[in-house]
Amino acid sequence: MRALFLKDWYMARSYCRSYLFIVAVFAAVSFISSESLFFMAYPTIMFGILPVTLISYDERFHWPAYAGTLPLRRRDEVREKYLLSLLLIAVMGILMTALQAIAVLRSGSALAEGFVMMVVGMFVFSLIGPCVLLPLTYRFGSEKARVNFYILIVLVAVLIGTFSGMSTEAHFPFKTVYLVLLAAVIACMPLSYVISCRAYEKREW
Amino acid sequence: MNAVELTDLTKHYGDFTLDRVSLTLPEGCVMGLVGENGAGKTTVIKLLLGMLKRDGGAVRVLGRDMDTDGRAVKEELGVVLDETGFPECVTARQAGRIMAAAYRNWDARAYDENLQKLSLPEDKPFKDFSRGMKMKLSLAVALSHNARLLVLDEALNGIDPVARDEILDIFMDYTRDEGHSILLSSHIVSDLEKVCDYIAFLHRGKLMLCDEKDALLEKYGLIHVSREQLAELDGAAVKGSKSSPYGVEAVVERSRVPAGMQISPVGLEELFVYMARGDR
Repeated sequence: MRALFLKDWYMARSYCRSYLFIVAVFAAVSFISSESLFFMAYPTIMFGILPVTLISYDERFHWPAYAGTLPLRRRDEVREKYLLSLLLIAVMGILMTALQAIAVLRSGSALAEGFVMMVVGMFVFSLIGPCVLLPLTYRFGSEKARVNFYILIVLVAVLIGTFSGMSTEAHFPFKTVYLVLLAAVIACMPLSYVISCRAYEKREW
Repeated sequence: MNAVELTDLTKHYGDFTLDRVSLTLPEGCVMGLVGENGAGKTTVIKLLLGMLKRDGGAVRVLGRDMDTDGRAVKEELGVVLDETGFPECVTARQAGRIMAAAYRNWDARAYDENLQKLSLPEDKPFKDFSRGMKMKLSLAVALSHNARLLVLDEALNGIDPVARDEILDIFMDYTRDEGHSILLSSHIVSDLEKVCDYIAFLHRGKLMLCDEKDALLEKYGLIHVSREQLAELDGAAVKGSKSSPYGVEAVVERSRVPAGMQISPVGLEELFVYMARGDR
């Protein structure tokens, strides 16, 4: 699997540099307008679905067929993409959390429950991306799954907007909702992985 | 031991069937898989490598079942596909690092030597390589992990004659080791004629023949006769013919035509073209 990580590292370094610009812009905005879930979550969401972008590059370069000739199992290829996604979400999530914490503390507020729930929300929305998109991409290929990618981005943006709006209402149990969503997305991740493995095993190159 | 054993290999597509293809490549030999576009050459190679799911038959490579030992067998396979498969951003040096992590028996020194032998730049991105260079890089990788079997799918197509000749020399070097075998598919019959011990000819998904190259050239010949003379021959003797206002040219099985008939030697390319055309 080290070969796959290495290949993806070389590809990400060449083709995903624009992601760093997005992160910089959103991190800056998030730092200035603290307590904005959207600006805090967006870079993490983007990095979480970066492996989906790498799959489309793989397909463009006929890598899956070539990988089929190497001593690699197909499920290793799937596993590597999931692990990469989780790793990127973790790294970016920690970075954005640290930035947001500094912003909140600088404004003189305390890191209260609202902040913790925002972090939970960020991880919830970031994990939805790979959880949904990776099986679709492995099942239908990156071209056909591209439309799902845009639908998901819109859906997540609408969800974040809705939750942000509701959180201003005093009786909205957003803590419970976020925790339930987090538990749900974590529970769905192994299922997503199994579906991806099965879909990829069936594909022919 | 046989390097490759295919038994009744079958694959159905909507408009194409690879129909119970059986062939054997003995260890230490080179087999050329030849046939027109869409004959099933790539399908055979992909089924052999497990890249396609077969509908029937069995595949044994280097004495092992690909279904159960496929991953271990692939450690000992060097494969060059028509589409090379490397990300365009990687350099030859980076490709070497990736492959070093993929193969247990990766030989970094052999890889460096192969890059030098094939005049490949180490730090130029793959996207700036010509098709010939891309194929050479794939070949350098295939030759750098002590592979016992090389499988090449249309690897020589689209490469200039000088580069092709260099690659053929490398194949000849490679097969000096008796434990090394090659299975290669190509349209370029003259290349196959140079390096192959065995030839397998596929036509519309069926294996028309599979034999030693020299035996094929001895077995078949070319005759120039009138239509009437051709009609008198045993139908099974005629493998394909072409009519012209001056008579008929036909490829025949030497043993089935009357003694004394003048038969010219036939080249592999003519043999395949006539067999593919039939009596059109």
